[in-house]
Amino acid sequence: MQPANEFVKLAKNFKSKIFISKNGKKVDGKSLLSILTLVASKGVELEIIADGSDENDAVIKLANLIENNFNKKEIKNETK
Amino acid sequence: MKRSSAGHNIKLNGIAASAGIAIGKVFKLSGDVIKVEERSISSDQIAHEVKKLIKALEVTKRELAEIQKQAKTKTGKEGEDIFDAHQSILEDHVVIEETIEQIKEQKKNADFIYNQVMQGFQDSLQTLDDEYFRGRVADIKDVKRRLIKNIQGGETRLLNNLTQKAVIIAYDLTPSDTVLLDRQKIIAFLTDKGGKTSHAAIMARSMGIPSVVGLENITNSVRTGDTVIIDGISGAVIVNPTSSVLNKFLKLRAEYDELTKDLSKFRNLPCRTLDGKDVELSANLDFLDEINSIINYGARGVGLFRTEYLYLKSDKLPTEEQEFAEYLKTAEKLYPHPVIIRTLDIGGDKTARCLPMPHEDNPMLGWRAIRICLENPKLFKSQLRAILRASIKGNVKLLLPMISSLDEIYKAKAIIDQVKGDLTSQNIPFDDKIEIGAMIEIPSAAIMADAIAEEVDFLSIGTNDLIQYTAAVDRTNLRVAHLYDRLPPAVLRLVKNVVDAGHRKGVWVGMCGEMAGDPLATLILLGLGLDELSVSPAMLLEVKKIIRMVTFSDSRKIAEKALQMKTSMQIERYIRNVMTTRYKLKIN
Repeated sequence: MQPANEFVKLAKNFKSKIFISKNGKKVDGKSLLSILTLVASKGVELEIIADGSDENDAVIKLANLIENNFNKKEIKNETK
Repeated sequence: MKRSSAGHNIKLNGIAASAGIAIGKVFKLSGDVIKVEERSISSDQIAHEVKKLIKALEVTKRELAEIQKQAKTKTGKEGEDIFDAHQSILEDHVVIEETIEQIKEQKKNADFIYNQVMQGFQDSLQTLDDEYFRGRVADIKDVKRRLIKNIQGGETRLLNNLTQKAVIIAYDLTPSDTVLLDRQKIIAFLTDKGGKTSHAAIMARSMGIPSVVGLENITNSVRTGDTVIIDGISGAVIVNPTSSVLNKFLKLRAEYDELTKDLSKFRNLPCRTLDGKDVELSANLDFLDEINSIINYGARGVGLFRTEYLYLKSDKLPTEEQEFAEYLKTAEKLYPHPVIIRTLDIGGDKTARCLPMPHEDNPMLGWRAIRICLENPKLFKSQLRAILRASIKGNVKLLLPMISSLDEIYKAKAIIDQVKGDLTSQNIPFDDKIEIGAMIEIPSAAIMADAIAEEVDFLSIGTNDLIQYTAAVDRTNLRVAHLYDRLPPAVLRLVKNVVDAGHRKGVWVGMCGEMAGDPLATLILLGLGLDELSVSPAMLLEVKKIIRMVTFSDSRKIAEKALQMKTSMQIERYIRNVMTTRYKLKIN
């Protein structure tokens, strides 16, 4: 659960609302269980959406985290 | 506990989840059973229920922090990470908000609603057949149990300190248990709940210790300090054995340990007789996470990949992609050795929630396996596509179960051809020369083996059903189970017929039923000329050991003689005699 949990922990640092979406399904980026069910579903691309005062910073840092750390199991559905 | 003493020699039976024999003192994990009752509440109690939830969240948070600290010192980063994730699950605001909202809406007690909300997440992860996500389900359950305990105000399990080696007994084992317990001191796992893929079973197999799960009521049948014997091969557990029983098992354990040590020498040696005949020795695979263990046991391939687990675990049918992923993983992992994937064999004694079946008075003779698939081309094609797609990445063969007539072969092959056509037109690669085999497990098919062999690339004899259908005996029915013989001459004659018919028609013949892994049958099967034996992983080395001790020409004579005998008892006695006098081998 490491990468997904890292994402949630980082997301919680931002004031903005954070969402991740895949295949048109959008979930709360600060909810570990929501993210798990999302990445478990089929799909190719993850989209990060932030809405709030620090939205730009949030998207850059979270995307960076995904690129560097989400190379494990949890994004295997995306890398296929 | 209501009882003051557990009594002696109490025998319990469960699901054998990890092989081996263990004897030791019980350590019962406390407070791991949760019971959630559904209660309606009035509007003015809502605030109270919400407050109970909030308070339990705080208590649980502190608890987890404490455990995390201990886990860190005990297991380092692994333990710390698990509880870090547990904190995130606990604090998940989507879950908390949803729970509060539902308490208000449904007017039900907090623990019931929380359980319901968490169950929703569990369900959506459980449908995936992936060890990783299954592990996450275990984490969710773990946190859920802890919080519910705190809502209910019961005792919670903080930490269980093992001071000496012990048999761990729990209602259901959770990841936090296995992280916190000192693994060096665990000699076996026993649980009330669970099946072969539950957390306890997987852990036990990876730790190489015995485990019996699904015992239903072991937690109430023993107390900490009781002595238990665990037979992880048969799934039996004996509580507080008398000294004679204990001595028997001490001896058995010593023999088993000796045997395992002795057998491990054979792991990398070929399965070849003294006069140079090779027998393909492969393993039966029930779940994907058994792959490593079958490789450890030196299996060359998978002779029977039972795909039912994909269908039994969820309310939903597996998707083509899910199946494809499982088959691909297996095929790649075992390449260049073969993986024989049997298409769905559901029905009879195996029913799946995802495939509702009408009640039948006689399900074993009813709508099952290939009969269901041929009537549901959509279901069948989805699995065939997954198998064919995986065939490009490994040595995959396809096996059709419950064939009773040529007609079924014609129909199944026509559907396979359609699927191949579809894949070709969609430019999806597959192995066009994939071998297709028929399972011979119905007497009519055994008799017609020559005609069937003309239509397929190989035959695989399933002895469990072949014996049951030939002798008309249900071996799970205790009143007639004694009629189910170990080496019934009628079945051996059928086996001979199938092998000879197959060879005349130029196809290879294997066996994947329990008889294939029965050391008492090995000499006969070898002598009858079977090309392949697919056995349960735990039996691999023993069968190989026997094959390596004998010559093919001797085994042919032995088989010939055995087949002239009239009863199973005579044959058993004869084989035992040969094994002890000629090969100095004692078979149970």
